[in-house]
Amino acid sequence: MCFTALLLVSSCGDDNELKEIPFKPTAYEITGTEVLGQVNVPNDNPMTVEGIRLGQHLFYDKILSKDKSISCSSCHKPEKAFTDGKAVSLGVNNAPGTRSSMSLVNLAYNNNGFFWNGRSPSLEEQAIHPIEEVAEFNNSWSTIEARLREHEHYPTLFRKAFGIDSKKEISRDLATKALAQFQRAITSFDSKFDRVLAGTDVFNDKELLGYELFYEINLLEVKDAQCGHCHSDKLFTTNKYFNNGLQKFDSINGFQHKGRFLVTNVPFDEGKFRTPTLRNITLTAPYMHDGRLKTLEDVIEHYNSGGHPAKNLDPNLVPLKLTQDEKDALIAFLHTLTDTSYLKNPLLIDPFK
Amino acid sequence: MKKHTYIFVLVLFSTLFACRKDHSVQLSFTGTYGDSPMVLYKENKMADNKTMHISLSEFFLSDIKLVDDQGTEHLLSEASFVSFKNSTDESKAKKAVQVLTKVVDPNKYMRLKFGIGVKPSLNSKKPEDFPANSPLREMGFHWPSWKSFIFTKTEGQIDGNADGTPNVGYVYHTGGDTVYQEITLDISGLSFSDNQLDIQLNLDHKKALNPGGQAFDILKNPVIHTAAGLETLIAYSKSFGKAIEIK
Repeated sequence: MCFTALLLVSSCGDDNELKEIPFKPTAYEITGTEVLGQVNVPNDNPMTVEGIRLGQHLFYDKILSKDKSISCSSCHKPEKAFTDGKAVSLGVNNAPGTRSSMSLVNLAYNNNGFFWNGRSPSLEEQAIHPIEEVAEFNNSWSTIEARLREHEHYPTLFRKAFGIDSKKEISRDLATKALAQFQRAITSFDSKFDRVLAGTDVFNDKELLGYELFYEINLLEVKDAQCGHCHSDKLFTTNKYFNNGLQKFDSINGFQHKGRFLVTNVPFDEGKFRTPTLRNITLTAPYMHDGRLKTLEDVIEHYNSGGHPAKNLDPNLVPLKLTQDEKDALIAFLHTLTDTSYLKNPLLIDPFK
Repeated sequence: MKKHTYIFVLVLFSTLFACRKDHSVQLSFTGTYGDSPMVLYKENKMADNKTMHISLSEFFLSDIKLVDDQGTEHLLSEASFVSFKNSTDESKAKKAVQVLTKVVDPNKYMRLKFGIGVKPSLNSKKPEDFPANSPLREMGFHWPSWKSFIFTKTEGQIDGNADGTPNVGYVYHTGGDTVYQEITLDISGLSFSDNQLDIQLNLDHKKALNPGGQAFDILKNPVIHTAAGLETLIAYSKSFGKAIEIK
C-alpha cells in the first residue's frame, strides 16, 4: 500500500517536472504582409517567438537525423535562400535524393501544397516526412521524441513554446508545429525590385528592359518573355503546377518524373511541378526540380526554346526568339530579386554558431 | 406540475427553432463544349473544323445580386472565382462547381445579375490589398502591365498542322475595366424547393470560342493577352458573356 502510494507520488512529480519554468509566449507577426498581403496561420499553431525559437533549434540540429550527421539546414542553407547548391540533395550516408532542395522563403504565403508536387497540404504535415525518408534523415519520430525528451535543453524549449508540463508531452506534433512556425517566419520582401516599386530605388537600363520583358510592359516596343504568367504577383510564383517542357517523353503516361500526377492521379498532371518563387533565384542554382539546369543562362535558353512539346505543355511556353541583349536583361532583372535581409533576423540563423 | 409545464414549453420551442431552416440560394456553374461536358484536355471541334482542347478555364464574377419582384437588389457576393480545374473526366465535368451558398429572404426573385470579371472599384486594387481568404488573392490573376486583374482565362492547344492533334498553345485572357460587363439573367421560372433556391449556370465554351457559329482564328492570333490582341480580347469578352446561360 505504502509502496503504491510512493509510486503515485513519484509519478505525479515526473508528470509536472517542467511546470516551474515560466510559460509566457510572445506573439510574432509575420513580416512582409504590407508588401505581400495578409496570410492565414492555422488556428491551432499561432506564431510565437518561443515557437519559432524551438523550430530554429530543431531546424539547425543534427539530432533529427539517424546518425546525427545532418540537419534540415544541411539541405536548406540560409545563405542560399535555404537551398543547398546541389542538383539533388544528399541524405544520411550521402544517400542521393531525387529532387532539388526548394527555397523556403515566403512559404507562409503558399496555400497550394508543399514539395515539388504539392503532396503536403500544410507546413506542419510537410515537416513529418524528411525525418522518415530513407534518402533524407532515415529516422523515426519515436526515436526523435525519445532523444528530445532526454535532451538537456529541448524540454525547456518545448515548455516555453507550448506550455507542456512534462517531457512526456514532447511529441512529433509539437516538433512539426515548431518547424512550421520557423519556416513561416522566413520572409523576403526587401529586394531592389521592392525598393523600385516603393520608389526608393531605380532600375538601371538593363534591369528595366528585363522588367518590361518579364511582365510584357511597354509591349509595343518590347517582347513578352511570358515569365509573369507563372512567376506572377509579388511572390514571383503562383504556387501552381505546370509542365514547363523539360522532359522528352513517348506518351502522356511516359514522363520519367511524374510530378503532380503522384498526388492527383490525373494523367494530364504527369510531368507537372510546382512553380518555385524567383525571389533570391540568383542564390538557388542549380535549377528545376532535379537541378538539371546549372545556371540562369541555361534556364533562359530553355524557355527561349519553348520547351519539349506535350499535350499538357503549358500554353504560355512558346519559342521566344530573344536576342542576347534581351536574355542578359532578363538575368539582370532577376538579380534585382535578391534579398538576404532575413539573415539579420536572429530567430532565423544557426543558433549553435 | 407547473415546473413540468415550463420544461415542456422550453423543449417544444427548442425543437421548433432547431427545425426551422433558413431560406438560402445556391449558385453553381457547369461547363460544356456544345452539348458535351467540357472535359479538360479532351479534343473538341471548332466551327472551322480545327481540333482543339481546353486545359484551363477560370474566371471572376463580381457583384452577384438577386433582384426580387419589387425590383430590390440583394447582394450575394462582391467577388467570386469560378474554376473548372476539377473537370478532368466526364463524370467530374458533369458536377457543378459551387460558387456560393447564402441565406436570403424568402422573396420571389426575378433576375440574377453579375459582372464578368472584377468590378472597377476592386480592379483598381492589387491582390495583396485583399484578405488572405479573398477570391481576389487567387494566384496568377493580376497583370501589372494592364493594371488589372485577369478577368477570364481560357487556355489550351489547337491543331496547327492539320493532322487532327492539338499542338499549338493558345492563351485567351481578358481583363481591364473596358471589358468588364454586367449580365442579367431571367430566373423568374425558378422557385425555392425545400427552402433552397438552386441557380445553376452553364458556360458553353463552344459558344464562347465560336460566336454565332464563327470560330475565332486561334491559330492566327493564339495569344490574346497583349495590346496587340486587343481587338480579339474585346470580341472574346463579349462572346464569353453571351455563352453563360441559366441551365
